[in-house]
Formats: sequence, structure tokens, C-alpha cells
Amino acid sequence: SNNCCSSNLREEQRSRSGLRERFLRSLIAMAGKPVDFTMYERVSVTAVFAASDIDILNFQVSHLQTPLGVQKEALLRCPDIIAYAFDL
Amino acid sequence: IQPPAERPGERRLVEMKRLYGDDATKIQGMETAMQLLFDRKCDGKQPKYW
Repeated sequence: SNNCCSSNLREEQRSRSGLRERFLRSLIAMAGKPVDFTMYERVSVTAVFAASDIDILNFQVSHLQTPLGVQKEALLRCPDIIAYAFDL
Repeated sequence: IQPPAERPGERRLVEMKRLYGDDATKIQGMETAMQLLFDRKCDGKQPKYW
């Protein structure tokens, strides 16, 4: 019935906003912390996370430790990242 | 010259409402704050792609 569908929709929206809020809060919690990034071609790098744009396309980082030295400020393309980890 | 047919951001607001229902404004507020922070830091530091 119509009632059931609109309550399903509300439930779905609540779950979605809950997940989105937790994800956004995890990004806020990551600001200023050293993060290990696993990239393609077996590259792993460490950098201090600063901020992300809202489409989660770019991570802005500082003190990026690359195999060829440290880059003071850099942007990482999120599609290049397989996984990232940080300590709370 | 005609005025714009739709207000900027209106379509986005409709989409946000469809996705997040009553929480749409809260989520949109968090996202806007995050984007502003990103823009402000990028303006200051001018980071390059690695």
C-alpha cells in the first residue's frame, strides 16, 4: 500500500543520512592525522590528511612521503586510492 | 535577456530531499562546511596533484 511504501522510503532515507553523517564525521576526525594510503601498483604512502572536497574526488594532504621524497602539500585523486587507514 | 528559468541549487536541493528526506538540510550543511574548508585550504596552499 501507499502507507507502507512511504514508510519504507523514510526508513531508507534515515539509513542513508545516518551512513552519510558517519562517513562525513570520519573524514572530520581524520583531519590533522597521519594516514596510510594504499594506492595502485603496490604503492603505499603516508601523509597528514587536511580536507576532502564534497564529491570525495580529491584528498588534500600535507607532508606526503613518497618513494621519491617528501612533498609539502599535495592533492591525491580518490579514484587512485584503494584503501586508507588512520589511528583514532 | 530572460531571467534564469530555475534558481541555482534548486535541483540539488530536490535531489538531497529525495536521498535524505528530513535530514537533507543537516547533511547539506555538513557537506557545505567541508567543501568550504577544502576550498579555503586549497586557496592558501595551492597543492599540486601527486
